[in-house]
Amino acid sequence: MIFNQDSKKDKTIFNMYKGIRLMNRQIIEYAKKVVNEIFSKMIFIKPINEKPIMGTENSNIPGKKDISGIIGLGGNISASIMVHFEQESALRVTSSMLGMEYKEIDSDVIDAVGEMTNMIAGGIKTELAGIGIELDLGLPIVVTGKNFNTDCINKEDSVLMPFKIDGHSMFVELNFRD
Amino acid sequence: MALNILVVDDSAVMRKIIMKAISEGSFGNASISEAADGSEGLKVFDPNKFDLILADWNMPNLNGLDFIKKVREIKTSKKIVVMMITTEGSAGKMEEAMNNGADNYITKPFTSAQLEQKLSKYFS
Repeated sequence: MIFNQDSKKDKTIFNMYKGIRLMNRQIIEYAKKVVNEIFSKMIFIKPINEKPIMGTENSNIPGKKDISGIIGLGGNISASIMVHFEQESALRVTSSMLGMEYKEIDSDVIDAVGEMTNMIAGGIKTELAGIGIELDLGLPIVVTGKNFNTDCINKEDSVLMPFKIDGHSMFVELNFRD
Repeated sequence: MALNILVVDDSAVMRKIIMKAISEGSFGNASISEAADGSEGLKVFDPNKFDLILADWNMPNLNGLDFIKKVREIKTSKKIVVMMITTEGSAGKMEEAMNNGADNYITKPFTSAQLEQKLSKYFS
């Protein structure tokens, strides 16, 4: 994405992303596009995206997480993508995807979080392939429970993108290393 | 005549979404079988039964690309349409799928209408 410093809108976006490495800014834009497309086509809820949280600032996710999808990518650059949900947001996403109500985290909810993670990573991978960065996608794993931590080696380069799903939290965590 | 469809995807949720989309559309009378990966897909695959295979790419045990290569090695009594349904949406990946036996390609995420539109190219 090229930011136009004369544009008020672009200047606001630029300031929001100030301090984020150029590659991460580009990947944030891809991730936003991909998340919005997934929700628009398969979940039918409009997610509200909030200001990205940078690097070591995100060691404590603001809000709880009850289930996380994790996937690795390798190739021209190495990366991991994590998608964290609080229980209620995971239940809403699964209920909406499958057209039936889910009240607790079960195998379908775990599977839906894995598939969401897979689609987000696949979408970003496709966008990066468009600019010549080829990556291979791993298989997603899903962690669920209380008070678990997820961490990555290159925390200073990571970005946490918060979304609200009907008022409940979802975070997309991007860890890209070139 | 009702279509016989084989859906191969390691995500049970995605299989449910695909089957729901098909059952609620113009191909609602289709008979749908499912498999959780390519290896299971080969066990379920009947060359004289299926009209359409919808296969994910990224699966454990036997991935979608290797699965469709093996399906295409099997003699069938009729033309079987093979469509990849996957997050792997780059032009290079699409070309690779088409060169290895896929007839068409749909990327996740997709809408029910997009899936139906793809199927309508081959079945009426």
